[in-house]
Amino acid sequence: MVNGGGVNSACMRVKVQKDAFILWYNLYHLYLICTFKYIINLMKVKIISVANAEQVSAIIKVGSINEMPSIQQNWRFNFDKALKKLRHATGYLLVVETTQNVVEGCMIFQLINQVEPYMAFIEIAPHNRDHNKRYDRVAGCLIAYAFLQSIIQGKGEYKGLLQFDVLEENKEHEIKLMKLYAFKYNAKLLADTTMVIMDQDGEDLVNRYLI
Amino acid sequence: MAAEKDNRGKRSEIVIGPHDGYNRTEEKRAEISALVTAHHKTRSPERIRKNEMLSVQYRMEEYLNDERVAVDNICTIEDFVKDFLTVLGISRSKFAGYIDTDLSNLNKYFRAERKFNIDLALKFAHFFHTSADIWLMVQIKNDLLLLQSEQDEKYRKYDYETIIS
Repeated sequence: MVNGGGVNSACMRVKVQKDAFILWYNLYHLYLICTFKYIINLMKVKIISVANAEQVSAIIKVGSINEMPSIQQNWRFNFDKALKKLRHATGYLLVVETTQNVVEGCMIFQLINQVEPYMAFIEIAPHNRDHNKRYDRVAGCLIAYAFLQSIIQGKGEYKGLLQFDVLEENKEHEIKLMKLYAFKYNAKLLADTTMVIMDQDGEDLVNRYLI
Repeated sequence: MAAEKDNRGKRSEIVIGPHDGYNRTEEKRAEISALVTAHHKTRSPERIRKNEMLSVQYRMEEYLNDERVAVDNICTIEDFVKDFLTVLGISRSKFAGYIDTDLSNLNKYFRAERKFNIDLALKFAHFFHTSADIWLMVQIKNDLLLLQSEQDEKYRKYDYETIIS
C-alpha cells in the first residue's frame, strides 16, 4: 500500500510537472508572438515527390509537444522529451498540406539567452530516408527555415547567424558530415565542431528553398 | 549517429543532434562569442542593414503564409513600412518625398482613405528591395479578412448550387 501510494504520488508529480511544462511552453510561445507582434510560426514551402519529381505543397509549422515525433515512431530522437528539456526552444514540423498528421521532418530551434540562434536538432522522417524516401528537399527547407528564424529572432551580431554542432563518435564520419553540410547548405566551420550558416549563404538558402 | 555517403547515388542523411545550445563549456561559449564578434566586425554596414531589412521582409512572408491571421491581429502595410523605415533611419515624411508624394497623401493610403494600388506597390518594392506583389498580397489579405468578417453573409448567396438544380 505504501509502495502503491508512493507510485501514485510519483505519477501525480510527473503529471503536474508535465502539465506545468506544457503550460510554460504555450506561454513562452504567446510571449514570442506578443514580442514580435506578428505570428511567426507558419511557412508554406515546396518539396519534391521522389516518385514523380513533382512539387508538393507543404508547410512548416510550430509543433506542440504532443505532435513531436519520438523513438516509438521509429525516429532516432525523442523530440518531445528534448523539447521539455531544452530552454528557449521551439519545435518545428514539416508536413505536406494534404496529410498534415504525417510529419516529414522535424527541427528544434533554440534562441540562446534570447539573442543567439541555434539549431539543436534536425531529423528527417524514417519514411523519407534511403529506399523509402518519399520527398526531397525536406532537410533543406527546415535548415533554410532555421536560418530565416535566425534573421527574425536573432539579435545584434547574432542576427543572420545560425549555429549548429556536428558531433559524431567517429571522427571520419564527422568530417564527412561537415563536408555534406558545407556542400549542400552553405555551412561554414566556425569552431571545432560548430558550424554556421550566415548572411548571404543563408539568404541564398532561403531563396532556394522557401521563397 | 547519422549514416551518410557521397552524393554519387548513395544515400545522405541529414541528422543534427541531440544538442543543447546551453550545454556548452565556458571556454566554448567564450570562443564562439569571440568568433562571432570578430565576424560581425567584418560585416559591411550594407550587410548589417540587409539582415535587418530581411527580418522585416521574412516577417511579411510569414504573415502572408499564416492562415490563422484574424481581424483582431492584422498587420497592415503601414506596420511593415514603419519597420522598414526604422531600419533605414528614415522618417515617414522623407520617405513620402522619396516616392514622389507627401505625408498627408501617404497617410491616406495607410488609413485606407485611398486604395493601395500597383503604382504604390512598385514604388515600395523598388525602395525597400522587395517584390511588388508582397505588398499587394498583404493588402489583399487584409482587405479580404475585413470584408469577410463584416459582410460574410452578404456573399453566401452567390453560389452556383443555388441556380443549378
